[in-house]
Amino acid sequence: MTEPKRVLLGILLATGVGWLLLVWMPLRKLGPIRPSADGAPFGRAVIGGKVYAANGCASCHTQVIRPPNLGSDIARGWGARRSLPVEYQEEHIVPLGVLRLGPDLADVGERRTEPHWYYRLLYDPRTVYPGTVMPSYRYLFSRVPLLGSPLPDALSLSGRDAPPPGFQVVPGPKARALVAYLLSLKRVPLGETGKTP
Amino acid sequence: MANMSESEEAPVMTAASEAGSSLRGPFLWLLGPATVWLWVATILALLGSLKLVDPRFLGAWGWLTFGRISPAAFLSFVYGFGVPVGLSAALWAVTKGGRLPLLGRRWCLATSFLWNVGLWGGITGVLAGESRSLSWLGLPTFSLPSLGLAYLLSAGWLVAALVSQWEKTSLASRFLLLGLVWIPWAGGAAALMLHDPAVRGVAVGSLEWWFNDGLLYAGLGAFALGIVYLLVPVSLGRPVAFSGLGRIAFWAWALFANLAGTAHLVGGPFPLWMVSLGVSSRFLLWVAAVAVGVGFWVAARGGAAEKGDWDPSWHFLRFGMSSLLVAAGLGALLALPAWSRYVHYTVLEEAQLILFLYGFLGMTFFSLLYTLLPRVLGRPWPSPTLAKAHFLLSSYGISFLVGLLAAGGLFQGVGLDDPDLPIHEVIVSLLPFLRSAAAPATALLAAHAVFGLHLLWLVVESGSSRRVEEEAALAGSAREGVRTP
Repeated sequence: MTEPKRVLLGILLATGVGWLLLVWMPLRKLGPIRPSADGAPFGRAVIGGKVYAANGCASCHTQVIRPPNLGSDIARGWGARRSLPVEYQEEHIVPLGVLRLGPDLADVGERRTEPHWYYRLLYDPRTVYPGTVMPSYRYLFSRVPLLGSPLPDALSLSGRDAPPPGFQVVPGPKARALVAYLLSLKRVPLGETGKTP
Repeated sequence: MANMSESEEAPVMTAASEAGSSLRGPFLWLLGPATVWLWVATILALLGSLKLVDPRFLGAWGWLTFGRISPAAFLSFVYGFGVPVGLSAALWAVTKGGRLPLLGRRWCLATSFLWNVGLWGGITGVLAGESRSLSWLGLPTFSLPSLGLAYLLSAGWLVAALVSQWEKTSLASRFLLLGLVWIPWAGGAAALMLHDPAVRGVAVGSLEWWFNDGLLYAGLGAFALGIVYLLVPVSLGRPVAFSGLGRIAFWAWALFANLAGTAHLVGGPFPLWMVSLGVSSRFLLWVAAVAVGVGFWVAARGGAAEKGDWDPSWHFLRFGMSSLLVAAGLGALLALPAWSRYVHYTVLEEAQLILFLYGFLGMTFFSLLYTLLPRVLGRPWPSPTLAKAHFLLSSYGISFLVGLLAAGGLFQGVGLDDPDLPIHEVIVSLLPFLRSAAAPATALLAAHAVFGLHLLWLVVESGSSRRVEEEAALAGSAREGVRTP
């Protein structure tokens, strides 16, 4: 075999080693061995996962709880124990995240259970956390005519955010799906010592 | 190539400028759109930076939300600017710096068309909310066939040409071959697996990070190192020293670039062996970078470029190599569990990524463009002042951007480690650093604008001089009574 062919073969083998160790083996050893007891996620939460990915939420939020010797995640109350592979086994999008410009969301469905809180945060994060860098997701909401009493999901807005008279602001389908997804994030059961951020 | 001496290099300059006309089209098809993508990437990055100054800025449009423009900026830089420049480096190598005729001109045109159509679709898709949020694998599915076909059209015959013209001593060919082969191999495997319904769970995370680090180190990093080995003889009149060490570094780079990705998964739901493999591979990549760097600095000591006029190519190349050594070292140290506790998921990791992308890859690619384009277009760069302004704005922009993010990341890391400090307060304390970063980001945008205008000036000048030459030739042939077309 000539030298260039040897180099070419070497490159293919080196890439193959990486694929074997970091793709094929995890798929065999850490992938879904049997269907999970709760079944695969379905419905609005699955669509919400896609909304989460499409809007780049993983650019600022992680979904992984590190062990106590590698960070304060558990002490912060973000989860009672470190994340395990089994908690992700039915997911096609695994948004582990790259940066923490906001809290970890692996277990946010346990910490915050009220949909209205999420709607309020998504519509105008600064009313919940003054000075935050989180952008507003008001494009996921709709302004609709107010016919009689406000709809159950309508946001109570005041000041600059308030809609014109005769209108109300309600979450659109994508906002509802995103909140359903966030509420479904209960990867790690909350311990008694858990805190709310 | 790597062992070219100064006396061998001199005739290349003349021969290359003569061959410029045959290479002009293919290089401009590849590099013209690449410059546009560079602007797109920088404008998107600057918008992202301004959104951290005031999150309400342009907040009414979903397609301009931070979570979409931030990945779109990185993807535009890597796929719009990085890959076409990498292909141009290989094209430059197979034509021996423009001395050999180019047989694949139409392939280049087809590649450029399909690649840019696919990428416009892909980036528009990311901004429209079609991304799966998978870092470097984040382009929407519908853009992948066009991108894959475009890449294979050029890479296929470039690999064949590199193999058929193999030079035993050439380390540039080895690194370029690695970049050419790795991207379709790994990209194809990753894209196919991500669309297999059976692939789910944390294996998707390890697949994502295998590809992420592989693309940066074994794909674009290999192209950049190939450029270093191509350009050092041109700039210094001597090859990179210690070629034996360089060969070992190449094999270390080819292997460990494929294993380094899991260093990002420290503390994640993965077995310890995977994370340890990633961390140790990051260190061995650093060793390989140092091995190349030692040869580079030995060659640079007392080299021709140090004594002569201000050479933009050499200055960009030197900044690129310095960035590589720092970024590779930082990448290894940040992955150590003792450090990772404080710096993982902080903007310090972002600083390391920016240093690698803009400091190493970007500056090395500019070095190639400053060498290649005058030879292809048959004219020198019109303004040394603009070249100098480009270098100064880029180098200061990158240095301050990385410095601010690194300092901010340390504060963020210490704050995140204190469980009694609410996350909101940690981020508020980080804001002065993030907001100050808008200034160096603006300097980078200015640098890329200067480069774009300078390139436009060069193309226009070379076009007008070509027309004058053609008209003169036409007039001469008419006088001689030769039938003209």
